[in-house]
Amino acid sequence: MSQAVDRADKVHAAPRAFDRASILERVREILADSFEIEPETIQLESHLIDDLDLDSIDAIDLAVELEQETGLRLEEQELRRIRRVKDIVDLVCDRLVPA
Amino acid sequence: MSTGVSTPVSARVLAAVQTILSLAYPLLIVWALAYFPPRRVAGVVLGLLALRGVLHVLRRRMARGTQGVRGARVPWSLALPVASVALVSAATAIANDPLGLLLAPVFVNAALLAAFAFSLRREPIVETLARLQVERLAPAEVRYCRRVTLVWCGFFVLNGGVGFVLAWTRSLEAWAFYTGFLSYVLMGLLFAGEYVYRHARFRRYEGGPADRLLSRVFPPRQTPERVGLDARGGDRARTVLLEVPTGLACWRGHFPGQPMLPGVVQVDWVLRELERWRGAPPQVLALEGLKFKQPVLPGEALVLRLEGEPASGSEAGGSPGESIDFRFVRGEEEVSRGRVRLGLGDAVAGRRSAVGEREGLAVGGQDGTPPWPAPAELLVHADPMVWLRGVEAHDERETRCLASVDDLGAFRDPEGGVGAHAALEWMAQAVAVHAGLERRARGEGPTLGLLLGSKHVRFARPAYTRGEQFRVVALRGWGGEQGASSFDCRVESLDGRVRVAEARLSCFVPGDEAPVPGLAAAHGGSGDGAVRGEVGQDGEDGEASLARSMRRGERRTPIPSGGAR
Repeated sequence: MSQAVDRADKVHAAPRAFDRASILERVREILADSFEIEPETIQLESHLIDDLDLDSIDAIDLAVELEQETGLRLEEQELRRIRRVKDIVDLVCDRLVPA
Repeated sequence: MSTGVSTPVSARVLAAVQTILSLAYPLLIVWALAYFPPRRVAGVVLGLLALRGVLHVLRRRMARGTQGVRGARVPWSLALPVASVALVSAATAIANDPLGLLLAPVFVNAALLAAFAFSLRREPIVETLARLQVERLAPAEVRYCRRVTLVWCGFFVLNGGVGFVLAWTRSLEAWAFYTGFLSYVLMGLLFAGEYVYRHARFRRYEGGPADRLLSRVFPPRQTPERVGLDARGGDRARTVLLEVPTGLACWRGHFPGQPMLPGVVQVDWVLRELERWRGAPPQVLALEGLKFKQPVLPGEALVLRLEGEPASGSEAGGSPGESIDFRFVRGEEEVSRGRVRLGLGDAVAGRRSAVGEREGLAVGGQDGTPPWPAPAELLVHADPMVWLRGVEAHDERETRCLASVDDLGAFRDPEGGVGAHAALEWMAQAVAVHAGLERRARGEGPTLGLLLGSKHVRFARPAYTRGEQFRVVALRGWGGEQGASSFDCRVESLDGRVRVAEARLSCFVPGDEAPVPGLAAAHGGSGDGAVRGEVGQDGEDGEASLARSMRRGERRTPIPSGGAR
């Protein structure tokens, strides 16, 4: 928990490091590690259910991993709206890097 | 006769008189034949039958007149013997030979035989009767009902045959003794024998008169009905066809009135099948990628697929690092899956724990706070599926419970121990107790929660022995406002020094007034399921539930811990 918070602090300290590309890279790592998916198959447009074979139970783990990684606490509504890898990246971008 | 709720007393008396007259028919006939010529006796029988027919027509008229519904129709299987008795009575009256009167039981048997035999072409009569009593029948029970119907067919043949011989030889006394007494005894014996055998076979106890006695002699089952095996995969894979018994011990408690196969029992079946496959009890190091996607209900047919690379030869219990994938499939649909990692070793010790530990959770009791309620009051589970003994400490983030191997009833092996996988249910129940305490704080009763899965369940030991006690801790992690939740759980020794199991569990934990998903699916049999409904769809009450969870967030008054005994 405290680790995640530390990381979130770092995020705000160095916003430049968190462009979409690096966030995608991180999301890709999380998905690959958590769900045993080949990293190459994870693209921005990949559909989590249809392409990556995730399901609603995986969504809970995804929320946990994202929270640990970024300190962001997703609401269930936000989680339900995630369809593609792109949606995760957008969500993290919106929440981490204030426009 | 389904004359509704308010059967008039006169009708009931009439029905009783009819039954007595029918049952006592042989004795009455023999008695009457001793005094009167067959012709006159047959006349009386005909008169009675006519009276019965008239009364029946009258009653149907009345039922139609008062309730506007059609009265009960007499099935032809009952009308036929009456008609045939009427016919032979008429024949007797004309020929003045008692044979016709004596043949009546033969006709009754013939009619019953016809009814039972013809029912085999569609739904056997025994199955029809069974379905009046129970909600669902397992495939094995359906097959059994067919066989019992056949047995009764055989009985009617024999019974009718004996009656015929005795009637034909006109041995009045023997005929009266057999048809008026012995055949009833035989019928009763067959029925009672079938009743006992049925319970021994299926162990289904749903409120029958002899349940208490029979369930002691034939305890409810723990294992599935194995109906087929495809072992062509050799050492690498095997497929087992299973039926989920209706007489499983866990139905009564998981959950009362709403049976669903617990995840721990599914894992147990996998391990039992592994033991059968490998010839040695599997040493389970971890369970990975566990997903319980759909509720499994009594009587369903499942396919269990096991895939892996079991060690060949002498290495009992599996070699380190080896793993077996399992899937339970119902029809085309995967209901659960996971991986069993086998080996001798300790998946928990010596590695950085993924499961958080918190300091400073008050374990009360000294300050006079009342003890926490018993788990049985906080769970919807009932005996024999209440596996936690007490609540040690609780606040809104964490709950610590006490568990004993001795509380696991018939889930234990003959030596009184259990496999490590029992810890899965302990942890799931600690999550449910946590939710129950939260609900209780809001003045709500317990409600049904579901274990959805876990990416890793790690075990330090392959089994726990009788008498062992543990602390089971559930620590709330991520939680959605509509019930999808993650809990970090662990099972440890009472002094907290030895951790025997740990897992991050994904659960459905209903929050404030949250609807319980999957119930309709559970009742309907194969609805598009519990899990999808929980996390997969867009909820309509987003605003409301968000508001609720914020409201919940405001209530930060610490809950006193208490009652560590």
